Amino acid sequence: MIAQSGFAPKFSNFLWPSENTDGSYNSGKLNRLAIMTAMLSVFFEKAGRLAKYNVEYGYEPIFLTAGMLLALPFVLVEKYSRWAILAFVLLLLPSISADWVTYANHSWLAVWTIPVSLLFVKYWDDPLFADYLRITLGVVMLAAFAQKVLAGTYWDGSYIAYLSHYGSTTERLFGFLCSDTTLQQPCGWHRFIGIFLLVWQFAVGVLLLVGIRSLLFLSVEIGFLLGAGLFADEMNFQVLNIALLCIAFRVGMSYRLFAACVVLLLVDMHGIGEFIDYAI
Amino acid sequence: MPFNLSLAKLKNLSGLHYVIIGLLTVHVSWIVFHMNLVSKDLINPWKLGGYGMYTKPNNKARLRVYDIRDKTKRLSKKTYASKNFRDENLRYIFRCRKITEEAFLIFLRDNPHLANVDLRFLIRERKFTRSPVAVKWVPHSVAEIKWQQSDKLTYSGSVCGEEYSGEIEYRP
Repeated sequence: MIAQSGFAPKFSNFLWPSENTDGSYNSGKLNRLAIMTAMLSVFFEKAGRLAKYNVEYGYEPIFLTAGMLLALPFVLVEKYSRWAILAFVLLLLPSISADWVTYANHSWLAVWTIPVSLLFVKYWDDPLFADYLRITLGVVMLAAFAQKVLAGTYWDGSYIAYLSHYGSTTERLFGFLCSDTTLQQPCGWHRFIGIFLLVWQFAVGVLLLVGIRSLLFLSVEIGFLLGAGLFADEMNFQVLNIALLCIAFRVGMSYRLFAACVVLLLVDMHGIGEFIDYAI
Repeated sequence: MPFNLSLAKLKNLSGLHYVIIGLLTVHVSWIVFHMNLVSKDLINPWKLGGYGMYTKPNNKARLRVYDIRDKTKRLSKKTYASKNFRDENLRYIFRCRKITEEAFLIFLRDNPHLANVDLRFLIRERKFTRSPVAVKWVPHSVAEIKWQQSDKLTYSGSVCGEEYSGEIEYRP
């Protein structure tokens, strides 16, 4: 049974699976859907790179990416789930080997999480795998917090000020809060946003490590991830995070949330900023 | 409870538990090591899986090549190939890494029309300043190759305050 929080708002019904007629949840199937969504985010990243494809690279990237796509549906089938993940990971290895230097952080997160499921006979039912993902995501949050503190660009709001003036369409979201003259000294609003982001990342990291699994917490965190994805115009990382969180919180992924994630990944192929620019 | 661990419970852990603990330990260790490299400005924080993206603008290091035979003249990017040179230099992610001899040879192999031309390689990157908030392109690493004979060249360069030089035999 899902550990339903007493504080969970009604809107969480959209995100979380509803009960079967006998009151049970098919969490195994929904966890397999979640890991497939995580893999789908990796596939979309690879497919996006094919947009810059050059015939000089040979046909290997096309075959490998197509192979990944073919493996995905089998992840949902209990009997073939691990084999499909194994095939996916093997198809991913050449690109890790070739591009490790420039591999994006979300791709590294996928490397630290998806292949680990192979260690479990039934990863979809194993609480240890869920705990591994929860702790890994907590560590990643704290690492992102620590890197920002090290850079010092969030305490003083300078990075938010930079994005607000020189960033892409979506990154200029907070530009209206301060004038151009604040480039000499970031304004209070940009400093506040920078510090808020730091506090948020630290709090989420700690709560994940401590083991809080309230659906309210999960709903708010997913909302925050989507907001961050919109701001940075980068949904791949957010979808990967959301999918892994669904397993970590042991609720699996609802079909509606899966559909929302697919839409986000499709939009991400072009970029949200491009849609906004077109609309404006 | 995740932190409710006693010695007795530790003894009952399965082999898989130890594998998971090992993976988490390696992951955390790598992040700490990555942060150490970032704090010394040795790597691009956006790369190598340390979760340092969005801490400051990506430095996006880029190469410029100059013909330095007589008057220094910048070569148009359309006149030379640099992908393999960039890959051999690990795409400039390791900021203080010297340009390797192999990289010079790869560049000449990919651009045979530049053999016997004295060249300067300049790697520039975007530098972020916090007060005032701005980004500007600055030279970061420079190296030169000078031909002694048609099959021998010398190189010298500097990066992160360290100078290096050497001699290479060239076989087309």
